[in-house]
Amino acid sequence: MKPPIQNAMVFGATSAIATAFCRILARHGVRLHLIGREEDALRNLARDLELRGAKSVAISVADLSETGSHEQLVTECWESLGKPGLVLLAHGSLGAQTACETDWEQQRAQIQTNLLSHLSLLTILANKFEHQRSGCLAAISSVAADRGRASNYIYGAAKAGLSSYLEGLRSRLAPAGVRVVDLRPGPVDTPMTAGLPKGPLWSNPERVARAMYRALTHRNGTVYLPFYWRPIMWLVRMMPDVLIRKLGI
Amino acid sequence: MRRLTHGWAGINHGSPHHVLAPASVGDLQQMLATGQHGSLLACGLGRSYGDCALNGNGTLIDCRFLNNFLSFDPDSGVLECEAGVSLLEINRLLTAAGWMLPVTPGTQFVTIGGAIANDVHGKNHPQEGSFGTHIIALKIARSNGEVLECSLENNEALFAATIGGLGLTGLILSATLQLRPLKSLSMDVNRIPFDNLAELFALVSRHIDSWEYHTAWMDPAAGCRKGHYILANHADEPGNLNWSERRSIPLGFLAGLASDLPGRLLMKAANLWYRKGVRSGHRQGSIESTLYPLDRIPDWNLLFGKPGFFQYQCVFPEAAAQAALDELLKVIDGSGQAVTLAVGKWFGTRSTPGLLSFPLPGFSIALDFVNNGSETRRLLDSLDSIVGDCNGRLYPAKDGRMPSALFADTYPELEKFGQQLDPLFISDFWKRMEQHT
Repeated sequence: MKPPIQNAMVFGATSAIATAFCRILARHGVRLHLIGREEDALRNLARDLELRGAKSVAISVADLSETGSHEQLVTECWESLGKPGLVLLAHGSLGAQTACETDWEQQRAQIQTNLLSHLSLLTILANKFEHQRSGCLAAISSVAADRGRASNYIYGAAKAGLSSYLEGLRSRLAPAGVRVVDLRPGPVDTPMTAGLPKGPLWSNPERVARAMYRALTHRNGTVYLPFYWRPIMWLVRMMPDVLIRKLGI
Repeated sequence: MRRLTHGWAGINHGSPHHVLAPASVGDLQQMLATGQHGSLLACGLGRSYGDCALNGNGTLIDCRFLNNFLSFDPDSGVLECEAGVSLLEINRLLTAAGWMLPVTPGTQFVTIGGAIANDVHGKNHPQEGSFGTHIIALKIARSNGEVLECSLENNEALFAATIGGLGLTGLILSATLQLRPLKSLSMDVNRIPFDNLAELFALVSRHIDSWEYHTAWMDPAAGCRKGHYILANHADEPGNLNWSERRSIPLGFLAGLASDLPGRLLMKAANLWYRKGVRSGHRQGSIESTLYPLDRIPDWNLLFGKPGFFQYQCVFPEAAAQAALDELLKVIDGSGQAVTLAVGKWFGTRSTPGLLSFPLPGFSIALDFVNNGSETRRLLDSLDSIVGDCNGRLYPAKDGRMPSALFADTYPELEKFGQQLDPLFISDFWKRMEQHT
């Protein structure tokens, strides 16, 4: 049986969730093209994935917040990979909310990384996928997109923007047979969240990656990772503002 | 998080002031270059029992995400990987290619970095030595930003100090190690009951050369003088080499339990199972059930709740072993303190480069005790003198209480080791030992 995904392009591949996901793809013998900022880290990851069974691993070094280079970058990867079955956007940063609150430049940099760079890539990728008439376009959003919270509304706003965009894009690309998947992980134990205290609802990159693989092989729409965040976030969305403030969520 | 603030046994704690979690080696170098982190210590999967992997009020560097395989030669079995790769990952991936780790402790939830820093041993020490015996080369980051490659030929003093060096010589970035060929995941297991220590030691001298893995389960209900001597070999016949995915029993929700009762009950049940449920004689077993019996319950330590438990692991030199063990068990008997689990292992003469490595040729026993506070501590203090008198020693990876004088007396290479310390790396264990080093 052919694996459901045969070649994939992963932006932000050295983030812990993307890395764990790439390792699953590697085990299934997928051809990969990884894009990231740090050359040595990408090179080491590529060696790791080849050893785990990836058919081939190519890398491109790029700072994705510089949107000017996107067109050329995507074209290069597209050509090297041939018809990609999957493109995953996994780059992002959590940023320091309190610093952003008083510093517009920092806030703008965060919106640039978490939202604008995604939209720029999605614009280019959507057209290519529409033309290709198959495949899956996925981006890592967050449960933070579901409701603005005092402690991380800037990150949340970027993710909410991304999620809305994906929702619309999904409708646009559905007639072309292209799936657009909005991945919303809850908090995950990764280098990005090293400074935060962990609770019982936290997950780990391997678990999230396994759920992602299952979702990305056949599902369309919004996927909560792990699954239990769907009912939790439904409740959180239903809560009146007063209650949110009172509970200090 | 408990892993960063508590030792595995739950007795020692120390909250780090700061946690760094580098996503890559470049990331780590950037973090260290700021020079603002004070004292440093690498940590992995949190399986050190005491305070070896804690750095209270200092900075912990969480190495779990430095976990790439870098190269593997399927002909020679030489593997190079980053320090955060776990033994589980290595076994899972490389048994399929017919290779396995030559030495593993009783759990696979250990990183390569941790296995090197504690120079861990397995049940096959007489044949294979300790983990460090199989390390070909290391790459180490020092706090001054240097990255040093070392091996038996190159920077050999740093190499020897880092193996078993408790993470105090810098941060292990990656390691090159020799795996062993494997034909099948199944094992031949043999259990022989024994009724007293003399019988056990006689059995061992008869079987030590014909079997690879040796342990003794010693029954706490019989004063640890009866039990089963368990021997195992890897199966000779070619067989299945792919791990099947086994479901583990999740216990994470038990974090912060007030009582250690569930843990005591689990150990009672385990001992009862060994006493009544397991037949002696030959049978087939799997690597997982034979070498890593507790890995089905990854968070079993949480069953001991807030009180935690003590594990006391010591080694006696061969000539003195039986007499010293007899004396040790007598003292425990007289103390009224409850042993929940007792496991014996044998160490052979194969050497390791490690300066602070624990194994000595002889017999090692690991005893778990219920935590009854100062009463238990007093008992352990009196056991220390038996260990010291016969030139044995305690295992730092399991320790959270050994007096620094005992450590200084029983690790003769301490001074040589001191010359290789990284000035910024320190652990809570080392803070306790420092007055004598």
